[in-house]
Amino acid sequence: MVRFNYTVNDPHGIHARPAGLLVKAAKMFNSDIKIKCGEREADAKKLLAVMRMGVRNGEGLDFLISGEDEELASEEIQSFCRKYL
Amino acid sequence: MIKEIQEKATQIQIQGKGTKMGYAFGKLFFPQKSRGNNGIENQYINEYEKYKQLVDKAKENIKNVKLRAEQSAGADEAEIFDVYEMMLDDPDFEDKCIGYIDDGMNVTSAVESAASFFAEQFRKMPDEYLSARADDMKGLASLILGADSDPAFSDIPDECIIVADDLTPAQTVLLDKTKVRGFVTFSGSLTSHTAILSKSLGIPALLKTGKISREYEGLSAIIDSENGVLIISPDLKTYDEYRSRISVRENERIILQSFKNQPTVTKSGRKIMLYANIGSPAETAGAHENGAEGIGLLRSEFLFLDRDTAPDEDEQFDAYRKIAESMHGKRVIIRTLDIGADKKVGFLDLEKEENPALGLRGIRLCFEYPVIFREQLRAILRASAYGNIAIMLPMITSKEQIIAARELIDREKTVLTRRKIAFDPDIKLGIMIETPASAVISDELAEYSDFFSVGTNDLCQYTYAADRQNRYASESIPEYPLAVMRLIRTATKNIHEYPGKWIGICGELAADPGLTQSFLDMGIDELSISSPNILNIRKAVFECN
Repeated sequence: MVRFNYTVNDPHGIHARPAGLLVKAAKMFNSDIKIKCGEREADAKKLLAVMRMGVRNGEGLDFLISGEDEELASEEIQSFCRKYL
Repeated sequence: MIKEIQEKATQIQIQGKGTKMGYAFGKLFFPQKSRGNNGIENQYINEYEKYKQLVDKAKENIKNVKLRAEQSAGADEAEIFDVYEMMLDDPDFEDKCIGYIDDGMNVTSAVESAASFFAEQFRKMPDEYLSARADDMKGLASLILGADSDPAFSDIPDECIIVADDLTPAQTVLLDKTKVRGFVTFSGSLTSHTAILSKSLGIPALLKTGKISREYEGLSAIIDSENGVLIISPDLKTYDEYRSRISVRENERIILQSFKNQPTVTKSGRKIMLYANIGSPAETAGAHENGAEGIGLLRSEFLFLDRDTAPDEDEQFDAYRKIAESMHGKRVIIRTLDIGADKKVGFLDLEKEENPALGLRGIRLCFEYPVIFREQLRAILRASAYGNIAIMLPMITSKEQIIAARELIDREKTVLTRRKIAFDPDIKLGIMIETPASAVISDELAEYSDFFSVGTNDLCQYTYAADRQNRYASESIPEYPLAVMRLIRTATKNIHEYPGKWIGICGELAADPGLTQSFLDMGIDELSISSPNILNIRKAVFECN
């Protein structure tokens, strides 16, 4: 299991388009990818779930990744966050 | 039409949100709802299979619509269809629908209920953007349930105003513009796909009117998308009033169009350059259509954003050359990479900054990443052999920066000469006047720049110490920004000490016809604005002294 933390740095928080791109990126991996934001939690491979978290600018996200390709997934998702969030 | 307007008829007015696309006359038409079992002939298919079939067909439809929307409405507007595509794939939505089917609902009720369920969740969100997505859930339901029938309305009468609960993206994009004069929807918002497409199709629309009774079908009506009202069975007086409004609008449009190929001259015969600001190669078309005399600002960031790796020299050269060639010898001013830590650049590991607006950005960033900067300069130089290109540096605050940049450019010129690659040896180098410092010491900077271009957006923010997006601070920037106008006047005086050197404005103030006379009085040589505003400003200059 790999974990990392990321603070959202986009004035719009996670809105529809980056949420969709995040889900697309997450789906490329076999591992389970969970996002936690305070009390809210979502499966990163489900668009509506991610959008419903309503993550805003400045909020901290905890990513929990577990599976065969967890190292690779973690790298890719981190790089995604830096780029889009 | 006149025959049907009875002088004694009581006209009915219905309010809604207008998309500000003008007025139109037409006959109200209520298309048949195409829902449910349309087209699914096989009575042996169960609800689960119907659902699958509809979703598959919906995915196909959305792909086609997206393509069409990108062409007619542009990439940003078509983005809404990306969201639809992803929602169609979402397992949570599917699970909800299947769950309702399990409970015994037919596919229509299941999809509608699932959409409502998610819509409610979005509607509760404090974030305005997300709560607007609630409407999208309804659109998604229509998309799925109407997927199997012909998405475009058939048998529309001529000169009609379509009235419906809502229109799916497919239906809006496929509207037969020769027959449809406008459309009215009971729901929807100004950020919904319906509003966006109304603007791009140029058809007036009225949204969120609430339910309108079918008994009005066939009646003549006026759709007023400026004031947000639908007038059913207008009386003669109203009819005449709108007829003259439409006529005035049409005349204005024709007059504006007549300026397309005219030079930009004042009443006293003084000519100025009127250019376009663009952010991508696709926008050169708009520049041409609106009679731009050149490109006053090519924002080069399109080559650098939204990607994992830096664009290489050849890719950049290709893009710059194509733009230069498409302008057929008209000047193209390319601004070098202008980004800061507030933008996401995949291949630069930019540190988070407390104050990105005052941090590593513009020319500073380029000096920090010299390999990338020099690559861009080389690509621009190579492209300069194919058109009339000039270079512009952003965020300048000192003459040392200009001198350092010139040195890099000279070095690249030497490299290209050695490699026997052609470039324009006389390529001009100008700077953005967007920091107060640059305006105040513009006398020093004028010696080292071939031209100035005033970035009024940033200049106003830095000068008034106010963020335009901040609702408390933005009020500090007045409509007539005297402080900034004085800075521009200083810069103008200083650059004009050198014959042949010129100053232009590329920020939003340039597109304000209320300021045109002031700029002309100061001696501004060039205005560069977004393409849709060009004809308006050419007309404004024409009416100035």
